[in-house]
Amino acid sequence: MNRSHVGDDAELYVIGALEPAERAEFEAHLKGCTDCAKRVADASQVATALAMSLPAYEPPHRLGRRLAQADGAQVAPRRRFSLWAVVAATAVAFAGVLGWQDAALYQERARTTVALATIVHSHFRHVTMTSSSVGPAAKVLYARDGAWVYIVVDRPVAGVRAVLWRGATARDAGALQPSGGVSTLFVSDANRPERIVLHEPLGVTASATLTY
Amino acid sequence: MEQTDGELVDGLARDFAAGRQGALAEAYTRFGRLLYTVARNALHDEAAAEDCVHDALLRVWRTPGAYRPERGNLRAFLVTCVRNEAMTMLRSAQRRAVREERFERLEPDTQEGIEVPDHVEARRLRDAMQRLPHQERAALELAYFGNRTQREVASELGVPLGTVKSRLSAAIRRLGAELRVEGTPA
Repeated sequence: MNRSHVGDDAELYVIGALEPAERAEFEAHLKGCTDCAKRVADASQVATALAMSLPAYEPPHRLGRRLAQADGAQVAPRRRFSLWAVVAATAVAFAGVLGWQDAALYQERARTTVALATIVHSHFRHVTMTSSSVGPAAKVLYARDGAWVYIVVDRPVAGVRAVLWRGATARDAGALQPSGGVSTLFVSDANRPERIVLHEPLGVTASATLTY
Repeated sequence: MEQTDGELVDGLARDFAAGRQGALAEAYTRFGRLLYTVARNALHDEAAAEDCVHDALLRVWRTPGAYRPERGNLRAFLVTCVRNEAMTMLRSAQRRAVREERFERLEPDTQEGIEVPDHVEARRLRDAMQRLPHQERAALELAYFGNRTQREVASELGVPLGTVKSRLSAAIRRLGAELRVEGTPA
């Protein structure tokens, strides 16, 4: 049923005052009525203000875990954090007792260890980067929820930086690190980028579009 | 080149509307405390409030087209969904209680450590409510803070159902106008 308009129902709807049958009818109407959608949008701001005036309760931790499970967000942030902390602390400790070169080498291995450990505990996808010239082959591994990205270029490169795009906003994620025969960059807080572009000092090297 | 919080919330709203993985958990991280507060104040029961938020969020996240940006910002949309879910559960619990002939209105629970808000927005709302016509304020207080149905409000105030609808609608619209006029989006 799609009534022409719904009288006062928009305001009653946002505070939960409609009876179940009225609410079902109103929600059906709402799907096709932009005027009522606008009225609900306005009224729901008041409902939010009312909600914020209520005595606040802290939700149980179990609720967050249940929703994260339903969402498929399998990587527990606390675990990733502790892994980072352990590796970083160990790297710092080694830097104190080893020479600089050895410490740098250890830190590079530590970065790789963190990246690989995170990947092992994640569901991820990969995409081959499209090169704008005859450049090196490159690939992006990325978490299905966009939490991290791991960029791998098949040769050592210097001064190549990765820029992460989401909508119209770009973020410089840093320079790729050459190591052995490849260059890599692991971004642990990627924040669901939609596109990754590699820039060398003279221009764009490669890009990839990420899908979720 | 970091994103602003507003841009992140816009991105979250798009992801949530599309039912993308990660959006549900992120929405809960941002708005969970407020949503749980809405459910808990209506249901006065920890387990019921948990189920209420869980079920309401999951349903709208999994239903294509359930959330559209023209329905308002994501937080306001979710607050409305949880409030409606809570009222459905409350009515159902009350019907069960009536069937079992031990009906009594649920009283506020007594968990210690709850925080009674005294921030600027809460004070603005309280001030705006004080400026409402008495009859509208009485209807809104019974319906929202007292969790009464329209019919219960009508019965308690001794007025026709249509009058209750009009008073509630006018009260919400008047509050919206007051809060917007004061300079900060409601």
